[in-house]
Amino acid sequence: MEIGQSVVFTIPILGGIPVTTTVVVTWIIMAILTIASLIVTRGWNLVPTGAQNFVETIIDGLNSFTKDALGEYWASFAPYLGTVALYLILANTIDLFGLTPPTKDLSATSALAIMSIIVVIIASIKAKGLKGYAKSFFEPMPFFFPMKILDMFTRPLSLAARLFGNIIAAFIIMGLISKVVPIVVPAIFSIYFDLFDGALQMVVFVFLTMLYIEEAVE
Amino acid sequence: MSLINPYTFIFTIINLVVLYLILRKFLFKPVTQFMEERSQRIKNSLDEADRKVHEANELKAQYEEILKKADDEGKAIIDRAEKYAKEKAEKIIEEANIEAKAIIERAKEEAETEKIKAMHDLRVSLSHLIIEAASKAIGNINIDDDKIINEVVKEAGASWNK
Amino acid sequence: MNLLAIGAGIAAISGIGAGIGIGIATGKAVEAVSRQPEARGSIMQFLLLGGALSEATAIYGLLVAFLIIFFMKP
Repeated sequence: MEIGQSVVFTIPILGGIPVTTTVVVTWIIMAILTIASLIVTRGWNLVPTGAQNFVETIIDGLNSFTKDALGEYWASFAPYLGTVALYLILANTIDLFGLTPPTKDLSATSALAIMSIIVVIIASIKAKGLKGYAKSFFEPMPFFFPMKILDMFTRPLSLAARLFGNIIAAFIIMGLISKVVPIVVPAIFSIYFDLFDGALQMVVFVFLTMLYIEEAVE
Repeated sequence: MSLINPYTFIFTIINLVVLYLILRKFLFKPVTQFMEERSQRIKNSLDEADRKVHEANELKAQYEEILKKADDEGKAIIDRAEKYAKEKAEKIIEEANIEAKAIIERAKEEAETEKIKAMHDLRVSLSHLIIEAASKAIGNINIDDDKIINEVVKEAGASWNK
Repeated sequence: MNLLAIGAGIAAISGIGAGIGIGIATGKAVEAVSRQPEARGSIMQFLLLGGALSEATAIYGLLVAFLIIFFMKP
């Protein structure tokens, strides 16, 4: 059992760039999402039926969710939150199809967390301006400054570690279970560890990111 | 082996940005736009329906008013006609009454004259009878007929008339 | 190796705190929902947030255990 990801192949430039399974699975997820979104948005009717209904429900839910929390800024951040949500739900549950989840790799989760924090900073600057953003470090009192700086680091750390820890714990427990009892029992446990926990961690990640953005634009 | 692979880290960031751009272009923007357009359309048609209902209500009120006016007018016309007819009928009846009275009056007069005439005749014939009887009783006295008759008649008439 | 395993086990004990914390939070949330069923949505949001934050301690423990096992090979 290894924490790191195995290298699938190496791109022979700049002294060899290793491409890990995380990256390959991410590409697979990207391909799935791109093809699915191209197929699903084709030939829409005014009266929704079948797949259109499903997609509309999801995107409408995302839009109203972000609208409630972010107010007038929802349109700029709903696509990002939606992208993260779709990526994470596939990445967390792809273990069901026998692929290694990319979120089992701390590199991927920390990339996600740092992107989320960058988006939060962008939101803050967009809402308050550069000056207002700089000022927000000294509010409500000047001696809050070190805490705010610390916050800048603990937030992405906890985001990344939470996602990574949950997914790798589920992965390791699933591995242990299937080593002890190879049939039937792993399937039952995988409903909880892969499906439920994966969906829950997606919700938590998106929800926390949105909460940080909400706090930033207020 | 390190916990974080910097290449994977950079790859993931690039992948996510690309995925974000792709999904925004092909999924979120069109779907949101589509739904907004549809809700706008629904809103428009609802507004139009509202407007039409409003218009219809206004028209209905107008028509009702016109109908009411026509009704009132009709009633007034009928009233007027009734009144006129009544007046006319009364007038006709009155005239008829007057005429009838006149006819009765005339008839009465005629009857009176008839009576007088009849009485006169009776008187004349009575006096002739009396004279005849008297002459028979007295004998064949030739009396100047007319003189005697007239006197008798006069007396008889006077007593008669009493 | 034995000492490392013991250290990893001790680090994983941090899960106790998170378990108790999430249990208390969930219990209170259930109480709140039964008292005010109409506020279910916002209570769920706070529960999710609190659960995620208190779970972080367990995750840190887990992370430390992993670090000890995989990166402190003698």
